[in-house]
Amino acid sequence: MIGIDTNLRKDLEIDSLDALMIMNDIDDEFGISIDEDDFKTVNSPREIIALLKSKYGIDEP
Amino acid sequence: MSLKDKFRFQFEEEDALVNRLGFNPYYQSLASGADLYVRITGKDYLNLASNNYLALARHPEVIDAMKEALDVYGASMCGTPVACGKVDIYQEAVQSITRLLGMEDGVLYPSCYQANMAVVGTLVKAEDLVLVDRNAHSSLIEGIRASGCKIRPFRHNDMEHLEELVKKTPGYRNRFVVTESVFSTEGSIAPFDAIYRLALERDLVPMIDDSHGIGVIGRTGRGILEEKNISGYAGIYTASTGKALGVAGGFVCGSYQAVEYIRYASSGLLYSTAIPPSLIAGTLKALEIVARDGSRMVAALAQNKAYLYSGLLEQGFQLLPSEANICSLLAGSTEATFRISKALFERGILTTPFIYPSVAKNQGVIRMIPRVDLNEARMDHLINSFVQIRAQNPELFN
Repeated sequence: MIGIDTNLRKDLEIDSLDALMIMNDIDDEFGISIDEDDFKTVNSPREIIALLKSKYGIDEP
Repeated sequence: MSLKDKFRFQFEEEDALVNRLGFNPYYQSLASGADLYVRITGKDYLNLASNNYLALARHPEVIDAMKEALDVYGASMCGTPVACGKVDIYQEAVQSITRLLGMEDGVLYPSCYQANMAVVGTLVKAEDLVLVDRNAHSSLIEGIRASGCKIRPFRHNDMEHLEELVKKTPGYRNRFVVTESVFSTEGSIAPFDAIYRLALERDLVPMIDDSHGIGVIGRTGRGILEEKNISGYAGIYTASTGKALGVAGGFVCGSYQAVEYIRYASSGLLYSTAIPPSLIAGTLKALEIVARDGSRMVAALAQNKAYLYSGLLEQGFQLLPSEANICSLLAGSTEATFRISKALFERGILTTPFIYPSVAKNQGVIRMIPRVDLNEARMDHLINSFVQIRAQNPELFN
């Protein structure tokens, strides 16, 4: 079960290709292209949302 | 931190385990070749680790051809083929490969890792898109990453996901779809007939690495194209000559235009010392043997695989699903994987343990290649060894 604070790397053990698949899905769903280096700094869905708000100007719905 | 210790931390956990078990399954020092039995510290071990599927690495015709080439051409060409020339048997080998596969042209590389890296790096540009199987070999992934293109991995062998991604990604200069034929950790086979159909329908460039397929799958051992009844294949094909073909090296095949471009633009080819003539001669002979005896050898391989796979299943062991000639037993944690591998080794059996990050964490496997020269008695010994190890260490097989 994935929660808002699930650590993608430690709990789900995603690798760089998994990360790429998540970034691509975010791009498909919301039209936001996250930089690979930025994505390396976040570990959980909560942190991804924080990144989108702080760096990509996305407001929470 | 001293210079000596700088990189030590990366394998600290595995290092501690190896020290505790007094056994390192990797980089074994062999006093023999990749034969059915390998000699390690004066003892013979049944060899299920090698990819010498057809035992061609010790085939007398292959060895004679290589020895003769050493006499005729010497040890090395000491330079790149573009600058120093290629031996006459180079083109013979290319023709032999393209004839076997039904393709137009080809080029030889010193290794398939290099071929994959180089061909992807040459053909794929930053403005292209590559759709790649999530479990594709590191050489393909590294080449794709180096090209700077957009990468869309699709779930392993999942046509539905691939089709969905194709629909979502119009507008690139070129779109490539890249996969392997046989995934060597467990032996799954790509649905390449469907992938190729999709590629033709949607104007994608298909690229397949058939390293664990050539000589092994297809009715007569011609690999994935024969296995999936694909004729007149118009994409890019790569394979190793260092697995079932029993030699070393790699090659790329494609259309005349694609190969001509690779020949003059692939830095991995242009700036590498040419593959040694003896390896080319060995490859030529191995291809001749596959063309002559492929049906018989493939049937024998399939028989051995079926015997070992069903024998282990009947004893209640958990095996990964496998369509190709590979048996992988799920061991779990790195510790369990190493301990099973060590227990087999103590019973005179050499296998390949795969641990994280080669596989997902706690999904370690013991991989076995049921080669052509195995027999039922030896496979029974292997199955019985697993049974004994489980009886003595039930905690390793939970």
